[in-house]
Amino acid sequence: MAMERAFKKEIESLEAVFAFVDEFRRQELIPDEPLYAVKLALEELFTNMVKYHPESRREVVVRLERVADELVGTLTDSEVEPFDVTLVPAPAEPPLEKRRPGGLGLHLVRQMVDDLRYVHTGGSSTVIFVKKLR
Amino acid sequence: MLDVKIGIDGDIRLEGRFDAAQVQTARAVFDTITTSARVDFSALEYISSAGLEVLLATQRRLMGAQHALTLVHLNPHIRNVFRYAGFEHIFKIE
Repeated sequence: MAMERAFKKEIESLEAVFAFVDEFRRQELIPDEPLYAVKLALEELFTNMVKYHPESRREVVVRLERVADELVGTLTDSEVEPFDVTLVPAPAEPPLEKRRPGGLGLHLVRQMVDDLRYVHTGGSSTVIFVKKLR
Repeated sequence: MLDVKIGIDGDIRLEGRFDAAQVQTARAVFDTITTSARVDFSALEYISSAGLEVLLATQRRLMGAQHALTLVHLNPHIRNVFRYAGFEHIFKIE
């Protein structure tokens, strides 16, 4: 089963994004551990689109689909420049006093999901992540 | 939603979800912390990189004055997030 919804491209939409995930969970039996990873991946990827792609105010379309024992999440950001989130390097681990913000969210996503892909076509960026449910 | 309160014992209690939409709420409290303090995670369900960055900024500021945050009662999912972020070496976690 799949669910899809469009969200205003603003940080304030996160509450609705989390509610959307909870709604999906009620339809499908998703264990706690993968559910946390799915929420985190959606937040970090959505927030990335809000922060770094202000060139378009089009809504971000979020789709969740269960395929056998995997959950596939897709976020589509329209009318934006290409930016491959899978190529962002992991943050280094310098001493605390030298550590700089940024890059941490995508690093967490890569650690917590099983696959992360990016496609840019027709002016739209699509990020797809896969989380195994077992 | 996130609720951040400072108890009479000086502990900072987090409740709810510490996501990117809650950064201003959290900063309003963490920016007032000037000495070592415990942060109680027992009622916190979720944290993302946005929450980690608030804690990191506070820890960096406090350590400059020889103080530090101690994090207590993290649920296993949140503990994993700290581990994946490499933050277990930055904070004392009990």
